[in-house]
Amino acid sequence: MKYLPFELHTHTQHSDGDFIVSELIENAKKAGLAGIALTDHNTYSGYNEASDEGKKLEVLVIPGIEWTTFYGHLTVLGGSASNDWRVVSPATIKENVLSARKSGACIGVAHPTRVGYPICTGGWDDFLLKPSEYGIFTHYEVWSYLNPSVQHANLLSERKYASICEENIRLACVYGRDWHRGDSNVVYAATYLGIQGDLSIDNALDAIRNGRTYISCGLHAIFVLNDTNGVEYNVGARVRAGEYRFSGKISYFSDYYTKLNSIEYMEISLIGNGGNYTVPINKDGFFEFNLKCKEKKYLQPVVYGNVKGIYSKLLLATPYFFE
Amino acid sequence: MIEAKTKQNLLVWSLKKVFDKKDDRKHFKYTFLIDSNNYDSLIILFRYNPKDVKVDERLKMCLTELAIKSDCDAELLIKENKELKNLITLSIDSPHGYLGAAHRHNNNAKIIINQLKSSQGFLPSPITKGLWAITLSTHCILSNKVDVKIEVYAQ
Ligand SMILES: [Zn+2]
Ligand SMILES: [Zn+2]
Repeated sequence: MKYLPFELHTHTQHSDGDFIVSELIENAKKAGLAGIALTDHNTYSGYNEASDEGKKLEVLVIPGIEWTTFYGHLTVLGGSASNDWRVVSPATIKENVLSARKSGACIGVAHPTRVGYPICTGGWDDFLLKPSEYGIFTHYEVWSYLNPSVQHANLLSERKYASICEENIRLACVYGRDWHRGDSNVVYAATYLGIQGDLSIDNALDAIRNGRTYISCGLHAIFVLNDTNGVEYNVGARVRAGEYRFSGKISYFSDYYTKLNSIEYMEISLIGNGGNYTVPINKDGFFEFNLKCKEKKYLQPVVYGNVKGIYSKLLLATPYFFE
Repeated sequence: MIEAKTKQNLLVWSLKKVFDKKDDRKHFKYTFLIDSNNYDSLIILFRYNPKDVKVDERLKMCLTELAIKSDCDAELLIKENKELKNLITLSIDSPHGYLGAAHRHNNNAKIIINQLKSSQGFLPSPITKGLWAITLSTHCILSNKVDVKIEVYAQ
């Protein structure tokens, strides 16, 4: 299994982006991304060109759409195009989402806490679902937009995500740059997908569906949760309550990004209603510790450190859920 | 006048409408008939006005409520948003299904649907005979009145 960086929320001139399709793919390549999801507002019309350009530059392009409704924005990745965003409403959201899921799509809430109407209609998640009702989705944009680790709106999303995790609902933790134009010299993150097998659309969607994801500003991570028999679990795994050893390695994704944004990792935590553990990461990036967790609890890997001189979260993973 | 039309263009459908605040955040679906398979393209001219809306006392109240809801600073939000925008998007369904939408802030758009290449936001499509639909989605109507004008030509 390989964890590869993706940008799962992008726009082009097929909706309100400044990018022409080929520019988006070139920028993805330059950023070192293995793939993107093209999620233009309420249209698939850019996909064929994006897919062709992606093949030229070896950037995987996942077909997608951002259902840009009056009540919230949802990124729909893969699946069939027959689902209609115009029928989506708080009264029918469950059936709308399940029908997209049935067609094979991953579907999740985009920028759940961005300022909404009348500045950006649907910017805020107004579907009026209780945390216990979010199990219909596959993913949740815990971080959105630029400077994700220090943005107040993302702190609100982190809290909402925690309240969903507390309901024992596992949504893949994803980031959405909501990439519209080629802004340089900015702090952004990426969603790393744990790809089993070849790099393909199906395997990328499988990683999201199964919560094998983490989001980070410039860090690559290997997380290993071992039970007492030595069996290993991925992030997002549902495991038995009990004793575990948690270990792994953090490394910098690229020298360029690390220098540009002065990235420096420091500690790793497992946080959630299942406990609160923090250990330093050593200078070579390694860490390990033992833990014990009760049933119906979760623990989320979080890496802390500096970005542009500000101490903040640098990485969040989909939690482990203990049964 | 939206645009001088050429002689070969046949006006197949048009709409003049005024939206007001009660029409905010709704979908308005209009159907029109294409009566033969002999056309190469549909040309849709779509215009609405005004685009920009000055933030008056009423909208200031609205922004204050938004700030409370979004846990951000109301004064700053008002300072950063001296003007807001009306936003209406247009989506198209051919007799065979959804073609796409023009989701952007342009309020004076010319959209072409063609078998080989359509305008950005729309899939290429043959102009097959049957019922076509245009849906206007009012994402944000902040003015008291918004004038909308659509003309659909077959070519
Ligand atoms: Zn959005
Ligand atoms: Zn977006």
